[in-house]
Amino acid sequence: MNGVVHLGQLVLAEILKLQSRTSARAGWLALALLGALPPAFLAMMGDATVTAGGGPVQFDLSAANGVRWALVVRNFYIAQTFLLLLGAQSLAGEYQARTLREDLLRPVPRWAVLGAKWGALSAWSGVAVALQWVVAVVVSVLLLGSEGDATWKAVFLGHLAAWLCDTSFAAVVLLASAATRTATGTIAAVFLFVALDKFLGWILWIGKGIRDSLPLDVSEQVPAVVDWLLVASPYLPSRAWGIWSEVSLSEPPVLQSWLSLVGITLLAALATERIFARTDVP
Amino acid sequence: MSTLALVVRGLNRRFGSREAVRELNLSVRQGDVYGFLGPNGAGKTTAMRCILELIQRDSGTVQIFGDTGRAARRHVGAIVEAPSFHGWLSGRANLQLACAYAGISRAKAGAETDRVLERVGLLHRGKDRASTYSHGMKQRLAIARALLGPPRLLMLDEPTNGLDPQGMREVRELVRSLALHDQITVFLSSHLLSEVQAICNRVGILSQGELRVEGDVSTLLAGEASPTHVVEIGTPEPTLLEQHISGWPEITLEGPGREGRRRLRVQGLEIPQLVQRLVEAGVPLQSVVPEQRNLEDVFLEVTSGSPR
Repeated sequence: MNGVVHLGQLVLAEILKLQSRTSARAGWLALALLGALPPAFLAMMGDATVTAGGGPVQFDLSAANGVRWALVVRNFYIAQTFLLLLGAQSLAGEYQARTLREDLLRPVPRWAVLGAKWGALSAWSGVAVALQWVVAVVVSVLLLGSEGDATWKAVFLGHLAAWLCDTSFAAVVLLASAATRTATGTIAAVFLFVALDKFLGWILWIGKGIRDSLPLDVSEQVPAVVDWLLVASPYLPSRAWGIWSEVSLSEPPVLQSWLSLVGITLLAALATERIFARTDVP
Repeated sequence: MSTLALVVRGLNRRFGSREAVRELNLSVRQGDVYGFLGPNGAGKTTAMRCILELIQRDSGTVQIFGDTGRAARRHVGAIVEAPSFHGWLSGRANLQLACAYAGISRAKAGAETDRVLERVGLLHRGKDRASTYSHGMKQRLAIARALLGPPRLLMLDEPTNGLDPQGMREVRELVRSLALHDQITVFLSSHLLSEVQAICNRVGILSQGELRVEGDVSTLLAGEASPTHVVEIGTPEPTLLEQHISGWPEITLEGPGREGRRRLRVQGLEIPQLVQRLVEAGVPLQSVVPEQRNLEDVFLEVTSGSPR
């Protein structure tokens, strides 16, 4: 059989398997509900004003902004938590349950098994994004108006970008799965990775603040390498996985973050393939 | 000359300082039902995993019907240790997933699934969740999965492990039938010697990671592979017999035999030579009963001294 066709068949088989898991269906349900709640909350807020940046700010009560709110809430690690759980079950969980062994007894290259699992996780995320979009649009159009700053195009593209970010995150989850070979190890490793990334981002932010406040004579003595490091924050995974935010607000794209998104995904895929190719399967 | 289904040459695998498999060479002919024997921890499962590329080998080559690597696995259906399933899916759904991995198109997967389910007698339970299957049914479902394709070589690792006598008999009959009617070459790892003797035509015995003996079961049972015989001697003068054999290093008194006979183990001496020597020594003989060797005798001779 043609190799490409076979890979497609593997992806489809993994999608069917993944969608049959209770956790996958629970994730879709939860994210669909999340499509309804933020626009409903925004509608409840009505004309309320909040103080931000030293002055009163009114909410943008447009339907497009309601949908964007749903996207923001979704990406507050909710969709990623489900992806992490499913990714851990899909590779490390199957390694532990020995079901992965049954697949590898067949004449399939190991990279294709990984590709199929990544494809299935990406498909799950795609369905989750689409479900949430549909629910959020319906609720927002019913409860909110059409006047506001948010645009439908930007919010739609923001959803597409969020899906891209999910596929990149899924690649990292599979890397953690291949490296730790246990579902709990995968979850712990990804949590640690995200925490370290956030910590590093915080350090860079503090460092940049200190650097900018240095007197000129001291500032000139700072080695160039420090300056290079301090402008590295757009490359951090957390920034790369957050590009959906800029896209949904029609802000100009941060090229470094897009490059980082592609780089993280490719590096994770390559490292996972190398590790998995050498893994003894019990 | 018969086609070789499986050829393993110089296979080695080490875990740390322990050599799990050492210079393993074996050949399985097409049509064989090959018994791969060895005590627990001898390296049987490790060798099978190396052959199936589940784990890496340190050195050595494996050919299956002349092919190597992934192409070789196209010819194989296998069960390694306790089979695993996605318990929340039906037996049929598990097999259809396996079809995708076996490269069987979706159009053909339904018919192929029905074929293998029927072959193992599980067609009526195909829609039930795999988690509701009994141990014996899971084993049959695993065989069904291994039969997808269908394979030319079936590799089964302890296929009757944990089954009740009825389940063991069913699996044994199934394996026999697959070899006989479906012309599938079978490579069967087991430590159940009676099972292997009942269904295999060739065996290889592994001990401490090394293949100690390989050959046809009939040849091994005839004793050609080993110069040892066990024989029971009936005599009215057992004391005289014992006196004489105490001076002959090739003969060991094992103890009392049946019906008052003495049980002897004879090394490097054929039975007619033993009889001649006893007669010449003046030992009156009433009966000479050579003991029929079974696979257990061969196994114990080959593996004696190896840790269990």
